[in-house]
Amino acid sequence: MRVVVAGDDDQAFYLAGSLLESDNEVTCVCRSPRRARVFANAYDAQVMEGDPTRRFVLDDVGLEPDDIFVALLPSDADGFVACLLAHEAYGVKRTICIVENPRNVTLFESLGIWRALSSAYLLAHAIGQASTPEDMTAILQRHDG
Amino acid sequence: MLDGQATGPRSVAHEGPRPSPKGLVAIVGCTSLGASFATRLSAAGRDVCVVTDTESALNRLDHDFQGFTYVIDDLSNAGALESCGLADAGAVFSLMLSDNANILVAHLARRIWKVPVVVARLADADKADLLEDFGIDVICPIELCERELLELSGFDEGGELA
Amino acid sequence: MASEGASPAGRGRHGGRGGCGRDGQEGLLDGHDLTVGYVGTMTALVGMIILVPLAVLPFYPEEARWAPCFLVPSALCVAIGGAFASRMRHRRRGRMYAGQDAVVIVLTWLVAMNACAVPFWLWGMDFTSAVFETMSGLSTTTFTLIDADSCPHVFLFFRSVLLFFGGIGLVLVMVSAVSDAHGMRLFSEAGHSDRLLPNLARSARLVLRVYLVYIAAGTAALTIAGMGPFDAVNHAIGALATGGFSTRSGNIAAFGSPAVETVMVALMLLGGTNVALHVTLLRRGWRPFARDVETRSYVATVVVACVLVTCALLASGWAPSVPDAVRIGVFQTVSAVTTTGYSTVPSLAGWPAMACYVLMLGMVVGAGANSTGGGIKQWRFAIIVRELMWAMRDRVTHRREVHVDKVEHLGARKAISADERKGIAVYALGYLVALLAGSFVYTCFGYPVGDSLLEFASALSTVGLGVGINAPGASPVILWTTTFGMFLGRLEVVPVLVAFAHGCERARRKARELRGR
Repeated sequence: MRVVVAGDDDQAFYLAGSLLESDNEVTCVCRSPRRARVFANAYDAQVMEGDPTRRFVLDDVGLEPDDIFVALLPSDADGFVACLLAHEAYGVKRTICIVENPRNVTLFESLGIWRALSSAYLLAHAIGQASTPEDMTAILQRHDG
Repeated sequence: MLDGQATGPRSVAHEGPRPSPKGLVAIVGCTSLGASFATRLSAAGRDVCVVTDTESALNRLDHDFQGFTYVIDDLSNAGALESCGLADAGAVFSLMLSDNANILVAHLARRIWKVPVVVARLADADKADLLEDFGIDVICPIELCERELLELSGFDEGGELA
Repeated sequence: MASEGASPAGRGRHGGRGGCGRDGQEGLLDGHDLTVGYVGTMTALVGMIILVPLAVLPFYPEEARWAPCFLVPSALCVAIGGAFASRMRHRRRGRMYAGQDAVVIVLTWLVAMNACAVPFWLWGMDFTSAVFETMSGLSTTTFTLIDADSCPHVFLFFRSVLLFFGGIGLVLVMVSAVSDAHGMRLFSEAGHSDRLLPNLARSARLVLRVYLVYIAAGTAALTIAGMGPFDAVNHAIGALATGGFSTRSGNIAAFGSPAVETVMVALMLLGGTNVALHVTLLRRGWRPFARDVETRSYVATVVVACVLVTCALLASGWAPSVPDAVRIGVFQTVSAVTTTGYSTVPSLAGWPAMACYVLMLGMVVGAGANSTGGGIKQWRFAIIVRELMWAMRDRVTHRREVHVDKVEHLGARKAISADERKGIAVYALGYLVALLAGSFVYTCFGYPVGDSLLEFASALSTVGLGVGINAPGASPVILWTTTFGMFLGRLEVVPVLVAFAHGCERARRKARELRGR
């Protein structure tokens, strides 16, 4: 069982790092050659360069149904297609998509994506919960840990 | 799963003669193809609406175009598309330049809103089964042009001189 | 693969537009042929419109002797127009050159103005007066040179027919009947900016249906209020077309009935409302209608003007009591702002200056866009007022702060583009220039400045209330100036200027050609 992280940005970078720290097998797929080099430099993991929404790229990744596929791509549409491709062409059951638009969380899940997460939604929720300065400090401390 | 080397006619999602869609025809993406198609349908008397994210793209629409136009920020935003009337449309043509955006809109229209006729434009033919397996029709301009080129030039389908 | 050296065209179309190089039977229809074809179609349409008044003959058989006054011009229009129009059939429509739609519209209106004057002329009016009365009807102004009490019913109804078709628009009527390649261009050049439905013919038919329903309801309401059926129909048409032709010489005052006046006020307000707003109200409900920037501007203009006029009438002692002042003030103000022109007083001469001033401003601001009314239009006025506010706000806020100015219109919040704002400002400016020019002509005949401005504003905004400058016996120069003002106002200035510019360009080119020989 391995986790395939598709994405170029810092979020993907740190996610890959965290997963590797908790002893998971990780493969990264980066669209840009420069970013792929950054990932490969930092991590002792398999790093592939290519567009994760293209079939021939995922062919080379060699996705298995047991893998977890996480898409952190710039646009929600790209993430959707990557997850859809992983599911339809390779039978990956656990596809996770990070989305910008909170409304796409329910939408993507009803279109067959296993989990969709919206950072904006989580942030808003956290800010909403921080109704007092004490709560805010508690939440921030938790994130540091 | 196709092997990405299809040279025959693209399999269509429907079988048999297709009835003409009733109601509003929505075209997402005011590209050259989208604008030209929209104008043609509108001039023929169909109810058409065109959704785009750049106002200047609307200049591609001819003077004959009688339908509605919408400019929205994010063309894959379901809520925004819904407010343009796509959920009740008779046909949705997603003709944007981005394959992925077309695929998302097509899935939205077909699987969530159950629009009867949904067609998406793809540059990359091997994404086609992501649509056809769900009953969404695909138009692949590059492939169509390649076939025409072969016919015009006299090469056979394998690229050899006949 | 076939390789006989056949050209690509021989293999059929490969991406080209409908058979490049292969024309219809007689070649592409564009340029002057296209103009002539369209004007011909419209002329034939006008010919049929001229026949409509004959529908009242069964009720007034003694007036049958006037039938030839209508039959002759109608036959000529249908025959000549039809002949030109038939050249359009089976031919592919080419592109319109820039401004050709304006040329078509202006020529159509010139033809209509003259063709519809013929019945009046055959009846006995002189040519200038006949054209004046016709233009007054088609533009829904309704300055009148006719004494209604002694006018045959056929002609009274003909005036209402002119109001209906002129008010709603000749182009709109054509578009609803004939589905056409250039329909959209002509439609939007004719001043219909808001798209009601995604299909042109259906939009046009919707507009017609809305007005016909209101006219029917209005006729019923007026009958209940005490008018006879013939009077009711004509006044209902007149109010909704924001026209103002009455079947009585004394206009609405002749009925002396508060009930009638109340119904008329309601109908005039309806007629002055943007058709797209009517549709918004019907389809989306009350709230989008009430929040609309145009609705608010309209209501505010009417209310403020009514209050000011009523106060002026009271303060100057012109109106003996408060109820009288309110009754007359409200009616006249609504009549002015909606640019209708029905009147409960014989003339505005002798009115207090403040009231006249407010009425003039009301006329200049005018009725709703896409309505049968005139003026600068409430939509533009609403935007102009907000422009001033936004400009001042921009002055007092940080340069770094970004504002996107949106207004609520037709159920959506929309931003006004810089182009649109410029167009609105330029239109208002042009309107005021026209107002100054036309009223100048009146002053040349000795009329005071205030009266001249009021009267020409009335012409330009197609209202019809006045101080008596336009009356039987007025100089032909005055009548033609007024006619031109009504023409300019009804077509919303721009098409006239475009057509004029085009005409000048053609004349210049012709002159150069002749000189070159």
